[in-house]
Amino acid sequence: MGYIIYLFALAPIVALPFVFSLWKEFQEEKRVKQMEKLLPNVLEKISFLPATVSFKDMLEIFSKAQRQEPDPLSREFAICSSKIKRGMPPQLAIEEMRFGNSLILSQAKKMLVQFYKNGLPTATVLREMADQIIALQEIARETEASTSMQKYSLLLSAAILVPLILALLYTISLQASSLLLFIAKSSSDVQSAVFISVNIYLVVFSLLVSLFIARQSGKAKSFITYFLSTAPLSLLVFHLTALLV
Amino acid sequence: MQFLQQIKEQRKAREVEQVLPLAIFSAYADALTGAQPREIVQNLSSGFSSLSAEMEKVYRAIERGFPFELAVKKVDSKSVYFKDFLSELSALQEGLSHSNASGLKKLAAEILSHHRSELKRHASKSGLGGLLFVAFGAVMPALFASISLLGSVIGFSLTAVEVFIVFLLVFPLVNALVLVYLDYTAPKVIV
Repeated sequence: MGYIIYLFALAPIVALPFVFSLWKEFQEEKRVKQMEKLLPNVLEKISFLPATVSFKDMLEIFSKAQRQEPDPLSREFAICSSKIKRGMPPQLAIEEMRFGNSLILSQAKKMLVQFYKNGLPTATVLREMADQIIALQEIARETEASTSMQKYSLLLSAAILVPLILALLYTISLQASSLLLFIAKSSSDVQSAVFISVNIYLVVFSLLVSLFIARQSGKAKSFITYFLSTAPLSLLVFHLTALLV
Repeated sequence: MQFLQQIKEQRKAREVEQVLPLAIFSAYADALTGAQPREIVQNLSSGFSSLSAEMEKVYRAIERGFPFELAVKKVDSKSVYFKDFLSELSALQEGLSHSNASGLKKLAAEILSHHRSELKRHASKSGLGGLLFVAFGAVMPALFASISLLGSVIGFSLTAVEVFIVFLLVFPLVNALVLVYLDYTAPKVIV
């Protein structure tokens, strides 16, 4: 049990820098998600502007709206507008908008460049675009909901179910082995090999599950969080169950 | 060898279909704002992983002077929807489709509806996948641990090295294979 206590003492220290970087990543992701959600609304709002409004005027209108009702997307419009006012070429100012890794927002950037080059499209076109974005966001949400069930069941199996089953059968077999001492006593080499292997196997199992979930959610860095939470937990469940049985 | 090639092509087609809804949206938005099909192809040549690689082939062919419909035929994909998308772009180029790119809109709706039915199919299968994973991940290793400890009762003795090999190589490999299968069958749309 000694090394388990060391493991639990070390885990938070090792995890701290990762937790901090993940927290920052989480905040950025939240900001990007919020912007994605607001995008169809913004397109709708642009569609209500009179046809005579230029691209720069449109940015200015959103900058003003930002002062009354701040949101991350309007903030980006305000920053873009102020950069253009300070003399930055509009195309470059649009390129510098902080839209994270979002593919849909990078499409929005391309759309803004088109709006700047060709003028604002008609209200019908803008509404069509908003509808398409809403449809895409809906399917992304449905996909996420469909895969999240599998994700949580895998995490649960790595952290609790697998170590529990292993600990139960391992302890019962070990007890049976000592009861059947005269006919079935396995060598101490095999006993310690099974014990060490099961412990390493639990860590490898958590590693595989963490890698799989991180890959499936498209967030490679989240692998560390999953691994650092499932591996110690599975070892703890295994040792506690083995002690209690 | 041919089998591996087929798997590779299917995987590529899947990768293309993952980003296809967004690529169609991008093309649709470009078409609505008055971009020409050539420009649409150029815009799709970056930022859409495997799909962009295919679109780059088309764009290069156009640059070399191939007519649009011939350039589009340079793409060799197993994805039916991707082929439909390229046909829509050809129709747009030939002026067969209306300037509002309604064909692209219809295709996007069709792909999204197909994806919804895939999601439903996956929901029914995912329970079985989870069960399979727990069976391979927990039940088999637990039974093996028991056999290793009580092996001599059934006349099946194992050495420590064999125990290590099975636990640290065979079981992780089987688990990895089940996870690869689950990953392969999981629906994905990148937005």
